[in-house]
Amino acid sequence: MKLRRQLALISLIALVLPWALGQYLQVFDRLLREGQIRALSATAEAVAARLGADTALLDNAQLSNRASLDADLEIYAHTLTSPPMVDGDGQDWQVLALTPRLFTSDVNTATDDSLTFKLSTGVYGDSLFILAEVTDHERRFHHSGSTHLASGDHLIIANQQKLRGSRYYAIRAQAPGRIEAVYRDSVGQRQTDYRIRGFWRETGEGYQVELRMPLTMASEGFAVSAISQQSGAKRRAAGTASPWAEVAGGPDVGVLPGTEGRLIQQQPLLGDALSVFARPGMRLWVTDRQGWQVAQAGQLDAVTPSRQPLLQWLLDFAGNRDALPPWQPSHSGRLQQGPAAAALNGTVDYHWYRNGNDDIASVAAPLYLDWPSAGAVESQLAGAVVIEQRLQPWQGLGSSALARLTWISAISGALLIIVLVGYASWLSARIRRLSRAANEAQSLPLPQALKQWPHYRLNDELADLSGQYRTLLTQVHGHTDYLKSLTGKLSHELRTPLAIVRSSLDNMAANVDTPRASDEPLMVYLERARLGSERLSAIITAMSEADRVEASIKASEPEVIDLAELVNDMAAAYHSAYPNHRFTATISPASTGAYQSLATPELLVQLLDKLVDNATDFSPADTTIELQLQVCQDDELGLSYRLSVCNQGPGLPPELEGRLFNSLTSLRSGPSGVNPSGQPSRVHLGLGLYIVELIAHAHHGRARAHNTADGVCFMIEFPARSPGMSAKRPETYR
Amino acid sequence: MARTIAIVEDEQAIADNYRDALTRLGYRVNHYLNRPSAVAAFNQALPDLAIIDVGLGDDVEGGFELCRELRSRAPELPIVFLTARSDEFDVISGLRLGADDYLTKDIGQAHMLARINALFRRIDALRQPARADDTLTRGELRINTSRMSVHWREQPIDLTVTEFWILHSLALHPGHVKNRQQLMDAANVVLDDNTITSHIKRIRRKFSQCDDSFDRIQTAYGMGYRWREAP
Repeated sequence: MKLRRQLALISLIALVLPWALGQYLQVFDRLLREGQIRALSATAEAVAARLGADTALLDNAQLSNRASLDADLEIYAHTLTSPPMVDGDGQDWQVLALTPRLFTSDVNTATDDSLTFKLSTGVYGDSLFILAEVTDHERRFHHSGSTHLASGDHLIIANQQKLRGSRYYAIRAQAPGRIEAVYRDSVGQRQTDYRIRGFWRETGEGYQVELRMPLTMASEGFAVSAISQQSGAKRRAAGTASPWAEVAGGPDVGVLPGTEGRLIQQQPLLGDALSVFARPGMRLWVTDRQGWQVAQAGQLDAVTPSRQPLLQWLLDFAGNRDALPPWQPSHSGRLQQGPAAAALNGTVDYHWYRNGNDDIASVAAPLYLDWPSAGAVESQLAGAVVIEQRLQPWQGLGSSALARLTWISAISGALLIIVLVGYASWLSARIRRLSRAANEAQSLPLPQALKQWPHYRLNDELADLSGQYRTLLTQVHGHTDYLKSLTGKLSHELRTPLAIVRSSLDNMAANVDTPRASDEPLMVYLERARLGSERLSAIITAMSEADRVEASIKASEPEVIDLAELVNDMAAAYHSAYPNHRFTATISPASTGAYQSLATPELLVQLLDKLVDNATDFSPADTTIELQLQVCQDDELGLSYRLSVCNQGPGLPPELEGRLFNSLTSLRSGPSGVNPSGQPSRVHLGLGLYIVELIAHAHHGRARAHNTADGVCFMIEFPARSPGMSAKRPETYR
Repeated sequence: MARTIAIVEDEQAIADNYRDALTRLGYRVNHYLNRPSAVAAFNQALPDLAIIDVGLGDDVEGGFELCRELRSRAPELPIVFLTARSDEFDVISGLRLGADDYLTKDIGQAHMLARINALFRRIDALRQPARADDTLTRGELRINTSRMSVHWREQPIDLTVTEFWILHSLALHPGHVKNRQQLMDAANVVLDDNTITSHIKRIRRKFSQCDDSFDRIQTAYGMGYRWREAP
């Protein structure tokens, strides 16, 4: 994996920072919430303790003696903010948003034609308001001739009044419109009670009745049921008066048990006592053992207007608010779920709810009569104290604290990442620079490579490495240069002893000018020594070839020549020089005059000689060697010529990649020796392609080699130089 | 009287070998190991021909210096450089200093002796009247083989022995391409291709000095050179 990719991968670790910040925020949020709940719990318990100690107050609110009562028989009367119009129309009740109490007949086997009875009850001032919505598919009105209190569908109200005892009313109507509330007095006479007023109205599924009566009529006991008169004197009933309402005759029966049903309503005295604890934004409830809300104080704050989206998102995230249940205010008058249920089991409990942009905390504490700390032997659960408050965990710190904390963390995190990634990038850039320089140094001449060698201002290990590499490179190049000059020096040094040998041999040969028989072996040896010295001479010449080419490049005088003519002539010349190969010359485009350029023909000829010599050595006999000359437009060189020699031999080995044109590099294996014809074979010191490159450079061009589909192509590219473009070289030797 | 050849060579063995060979041919040979001794001897008496090594011991360019001195004293004296070095720079330097020929040390003795003979022949020819039958005429070119002189448009062109034989070989068969080997054989030299090329260039330049439009020596790429007849 490249350094750059490693770096990118490693910097992914920085993503841990936002995650950690998130965890931190969530923990902090939890802490804040716990603190707020603790405060609320303390308040709730204090309220419970205070109220529990006030036995008179609880007695007055009828919280103390209700242990045996059944919530199903109790009806909760909401405290209304405005009186509904008693006109049989339920529209004005809907504004109050109360949850009606639902009763059905046949609780166990509910069918479509079951009788259902929805009861809404409210208190305003001294009046009790009742809205009864009844679903009854088979409707009968009261028959005026009946001796029964009610002969059709009707409601019954059972109550217990002070001084008057139990009384059962039938609420009936002969037709939609005003109702009659009738009862039998103590002697069985049918009476109408005009204190109960109301209106009967037909609806699609049944009927609805709206009633208004004095609150005093419900002070002791109270029960309501709807009775459906079926065919065959059969009756069905739904409501709190049910158990006996279905009895044939109903209220008409002379003696009936007292009602157990109760009307529950808020207790103003208890409410006053509770309002002492109320603080702005906090709502307190007291419930009885059944969860009925018997007292209320305080109001919840209005929903906070929307915050900045980012801040809101942070708050949602920190509080994990998506997991909170939505706030559902109770409209039924009874708290049966949430913390209140736990408190009615005797434990303090709390719950968070989501409501708009805020949260609502609900805390409930059990309310005991004879609070243990008040010295009573045994405490008795009387209900629960519930406190609700619209809260924002970060409120105490200010929401801006959260934003600030987040910003600080984000900025410091970002800074950390930038610095770390920046440092790593810088480090890797330096390493890559060194690596690139080392890579380029393979192909560049030493002075240029050293000039481009990175200098690090910071004196660290990397700078040391760079310096060591530089030293190494200098040594390697020094060694190569030494090797390069060694051949030249050696050839010079060897020439003198060789001259001694040759001249000695010549002298010897001259001394045996008149050979005798005894001299014959001597002549053979002389001839062998002469051949050997000639080979040595050829080797010495080959060794100094590069030096001589360099010298002739220095002395070369470019002239205007036609390159196309040169290539054509050379192809023809090679044709006769290498009879085992075919030569073709391809000039494209073949326009005359396009190839007039300033060049040194001897050098180009020498270059072609080297390339063709190579090509014939490496390609099989009878294959074609192609000489190509092209005009091309090069990014680097501009308008340039490409001179290439392609053969059909084996491809270049990859290990020579990049150093093919180096001095003393050879593809050839095996020692040079005498070929079968007895002629000394050519000496190959790996200078041929080096000379090619020297000549390419002398023409301001470059040499390249690449494998083609069926062989190898060597080429040089050099810029076109029209005669006028280049000033004539100063003539050094004349 | 035997001709005197002076060999100035720091390598005793080579000098001895050459002396033996030349003595065998009837020349009188004096050998000097370094420049001062050679200069001292030349002050006494000039030789008929001098063979000078370019590098004389620690005196790397001593041969050139000696050549300069000798040439100033005797303009007609044939001087031959003999050196282990073969790069073109030395060849050119030597010839510019007025040497008549330039030989590398690994030249065969036969070749060397042929060159020395040729030089003496030229000296001799200069002292005798020119013979018409020794003259080769190609348009405006006139070559006298016995005097080894060349004239272009009646102006003398001063060529070295090697240059002379190269030109002679080209002009002998106008239009025929002579490859390098043929030219080397004609001039009795063993040179590498580059040196032949620079000889050709030098010949062209010498002609150009008296005729700007000279273009008779043509290059046949990859083959050699040819003498082009006047159009």
